[in-house]
Amino acid sequence: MNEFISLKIDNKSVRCKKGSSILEAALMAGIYIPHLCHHPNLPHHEACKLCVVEMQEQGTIVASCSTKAEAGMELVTNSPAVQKIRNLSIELIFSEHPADCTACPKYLKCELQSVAQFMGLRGGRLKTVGKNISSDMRNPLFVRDMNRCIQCGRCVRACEQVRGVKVLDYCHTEVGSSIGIPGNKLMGEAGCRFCGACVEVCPTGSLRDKEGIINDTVPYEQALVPCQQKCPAHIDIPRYIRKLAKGEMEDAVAVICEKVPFPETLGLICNHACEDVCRRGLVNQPVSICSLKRYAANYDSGSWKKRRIVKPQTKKRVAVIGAGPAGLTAAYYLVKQGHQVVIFERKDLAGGMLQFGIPKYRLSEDIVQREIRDILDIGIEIKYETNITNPKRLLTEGFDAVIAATGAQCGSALQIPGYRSEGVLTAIDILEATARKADIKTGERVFIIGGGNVAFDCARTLRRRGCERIDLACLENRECMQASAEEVAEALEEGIRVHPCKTFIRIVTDGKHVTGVETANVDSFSFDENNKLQMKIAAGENHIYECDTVIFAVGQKSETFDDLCGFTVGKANTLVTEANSCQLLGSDAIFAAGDITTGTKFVISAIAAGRAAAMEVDQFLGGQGDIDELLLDRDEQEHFIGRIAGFDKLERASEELLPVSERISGFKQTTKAYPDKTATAEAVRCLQCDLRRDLERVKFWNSYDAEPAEE
Amino acid sequence: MRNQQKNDEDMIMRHELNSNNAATPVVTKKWGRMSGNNIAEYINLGGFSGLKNALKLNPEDVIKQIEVSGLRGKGGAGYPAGLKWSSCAGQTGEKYIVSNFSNCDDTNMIVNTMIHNDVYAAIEGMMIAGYAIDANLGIIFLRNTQTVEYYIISAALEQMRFSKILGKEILKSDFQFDIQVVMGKNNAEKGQEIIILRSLAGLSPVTVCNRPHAAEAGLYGKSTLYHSMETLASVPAILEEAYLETKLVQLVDTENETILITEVAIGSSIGDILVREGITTEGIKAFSFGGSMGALFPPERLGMLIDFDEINHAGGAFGNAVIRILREKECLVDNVMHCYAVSSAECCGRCVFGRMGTAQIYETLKDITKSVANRMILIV
Repeated sequence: MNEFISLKIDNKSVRCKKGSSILEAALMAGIYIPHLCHHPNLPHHEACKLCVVEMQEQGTIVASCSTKAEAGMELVTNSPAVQKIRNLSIELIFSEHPADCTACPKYLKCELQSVAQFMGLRGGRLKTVGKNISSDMRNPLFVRDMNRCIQCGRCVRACEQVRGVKVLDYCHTEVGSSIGIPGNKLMGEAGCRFCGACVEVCPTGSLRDKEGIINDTVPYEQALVPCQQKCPAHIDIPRYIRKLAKGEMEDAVAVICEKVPFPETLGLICNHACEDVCRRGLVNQPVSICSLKRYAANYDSGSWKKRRIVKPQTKKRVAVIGAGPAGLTAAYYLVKQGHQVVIFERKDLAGGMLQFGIPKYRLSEDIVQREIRDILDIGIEIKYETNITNPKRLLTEGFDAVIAATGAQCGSALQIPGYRSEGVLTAIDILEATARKADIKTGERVFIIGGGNVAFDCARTLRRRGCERIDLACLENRECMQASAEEVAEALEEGIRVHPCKTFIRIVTDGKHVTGVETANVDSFSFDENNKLQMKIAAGENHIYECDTVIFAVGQKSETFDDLCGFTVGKANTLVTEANSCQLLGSDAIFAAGDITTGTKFVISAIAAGRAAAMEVDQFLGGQGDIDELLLDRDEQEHFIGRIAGFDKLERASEELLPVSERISGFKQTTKAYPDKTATAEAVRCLQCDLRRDLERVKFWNSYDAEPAEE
Repeated sequence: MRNQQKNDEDMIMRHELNSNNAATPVVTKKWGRMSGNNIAEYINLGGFSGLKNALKLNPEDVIKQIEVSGLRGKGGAGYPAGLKWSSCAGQTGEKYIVSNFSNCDDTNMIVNTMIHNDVYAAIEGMMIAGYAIDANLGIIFLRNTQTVEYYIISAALEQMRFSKILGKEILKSDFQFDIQVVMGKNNAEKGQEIIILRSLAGLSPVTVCNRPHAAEAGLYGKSTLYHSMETLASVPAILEEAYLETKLVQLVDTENETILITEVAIGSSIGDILVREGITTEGIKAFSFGGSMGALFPPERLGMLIDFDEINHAGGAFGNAVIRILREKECLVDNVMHCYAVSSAECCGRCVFGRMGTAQIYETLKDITKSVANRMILIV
């Protein structure tokens, strides 16, 4: 198959694969021939005629993009005859292209500009034929600025032949041809699947991503797939969604498990930052990435474990303190790297916040413990009810490295008058007691201070424990509350009273026990340069909410080790690490991961931190630090996505929510996983932004100069 | 440009088409003898006897007859039809026959006249070709402007199906064949084989370079026999009797308000045709052959023969056989400018020379006619 042939281009011997075009052969050999309509992923089109070359023997001029290279050919890329055609072509292209390069958002990233630069274009000979079409901003995601279009036909070929969508086409009117959407429809109406292939291949500024769509603070390849980029663990989201759309659930789980060991847990409780940046959200609503993960995890048969690689033993020992998501993740990946890991857990059950913090109606104990068992099964030793007071000492006990992942376990309280009275609790107290099915005394009228997810977890847990009257108040207004919108809505349905825009003056007591909370209304608040809260209190009288129990849900602190071993302690008792590292300041072999370094964050962040710690510790112990693995071969991507009727209108599916009465009568999971049909339909909604990554980026002429001449 | 076209259309309304005085009627032999595409009359005049004769022969023998007749594609290139047929017959798998029943030029009335006077001849030719190359589906492609013709052809096909001449068991044989009529979506979809095949397959209507021959990979990548309507309309005569290669030409003499269509034998000289049709050759400044795609010739070239190679070599466009006589009152530059206006507006839009090159020439000629052109433009 790989037969090679030799030919001469500009008197230089060039070897290329049989069947490649002259242009491909030249570019491969580092000889630049100007070209615009040619794109490596598209069929040749011979529209721009810039790539013409002269066949020396015959004296004929051919377009190098569409002419196959043949053995023994002798070609010249810049004879006077070639130059004449080429110059005329670029002159003609520019006779209809706006001259205001610097006003174009594509300035300096534009292939046309680069080609013109290479050819030293001197304009002004031909008449300018202006098109004066205003840019079409009506569509989500993309700008169509057809004034800058040079009709190279790349977008049409990408849409029609690479994607099979056929939205963009040559349009003909009485005055001539142009590229557009027949009938000047909106892209969505015309059947666009918003894959972005047309934008990716456009050599000018005429098809562009709308401003702000591509996050330019991260590498371009990552910015193209915002969900994956935003996910702290960088799960290959489009890939598993595509598997689900095809009904290959086990494959989907394998893709998820490449990056995280807790598929179902995350499917239930992840804060899904991915959905906030999902491009589908700009078309109508984001894809339900999280619910789809839950659905996929239900089909987990563990078959992906066969592909899992556990490297040979290194004889290195690592101690992990704390069996929460960060600790377990770190331990899991370190064992896979061949290290021996012992987890020290203070409590009698592993899971940390997954087990004791998150209420069971969101994440049942069975799921947590099953996934933890799966993780431990890889060969992690765990010692329960072992409190480590001095991590440094572990290094003298035969461990080569220590990872502290103790989390943020201590509920904090606002230090307002009366905060030490009887009947004042923290959310953590309530949640852990409930998880242990232990008794905790709360009154009949509970007042919760805090507006985050934990506050709502606590409120809804109490509701399920039979508490009738629950008030919840927070500083933020309804729109800015830190809890997720669904959480607030479900809590309201369950009869929780929510009081936004409040500040808390004092806790009213009868001298010993709580009787109420005095609050004032807040107009607005902000944080000053020292991160100190500045409030504007509204006029009017303070209000006292009567209650017999006050629960603080205003964040958690970490518990410091009894012996601090010289670690630096930061805000909320966090341990301070070296910059961009997990290594603790001023320590050699002690690392930290998860909430203990960052303060309270999300489970996925803890998992990502666990991965990062595992990588760093592996490197510290002499490994490569490469914990990525492929549990499912990347298929030849299916670029030909075809048309789907009404694709832009496909609505986001939500999980079925149990009726309120059923919800509050126990700790049953509040939502049901998707039925098969819904899941497939939801997965189909994905725009598959990652396909765009597979389109090659065209190199500009100056990157050919650098390539060494081939002998 | 719009005005000129308008004038032409008006004139067609005012003048009878002199379509019935061909010297050698082959394609036109039933013209004027039917009351408008009536199948009974067509059969009475000996219609479908070519098909009947073909069905009695082996397909190979039909192809042989086509080869012997010397029939060449009348769309312009003059490719020998027999070669096309045998190369299609040599292919396996599904096959199609595609024909454009449309003209590439707005001023060319030949095809529409053929449709209005006798659409069956071409349909019969298509069916004979279908039998010869073993295809079961023919597709007739029309321009986006040919709405009336669309209904005429559909009605003709319906009459044929009703008379069991189209569909299954055609003329009580095993041969089955069906025909679809498809209209183009825009004014670039016409004439050009590759554009029509791509348009039918749902692809963008642009030309493609270095593509395989349609006989090998045409519509949907399957073997496709592509002919112009006139070529197909010549086929039944080959199966009926001795055949003579002819060409329909349209003569336009604007100053004498004459437009006529006539059939002439290949090899006739243009000057002789004009004289025979009563168009004076006095005072001719120039004449064009091929409409907006053709070329202008001085009166000394009136001796030029109507022949594939002679016309094409001289720069004319044989397929678009419109001969326009330009007399004293008409401006040659305007005429050329008009050609470029049409070319630039109706180009497929793929390559920059076709699209912007023609537009620049048009702009330049416009400037020249207004005496505001820049001398620089002519320095290449």
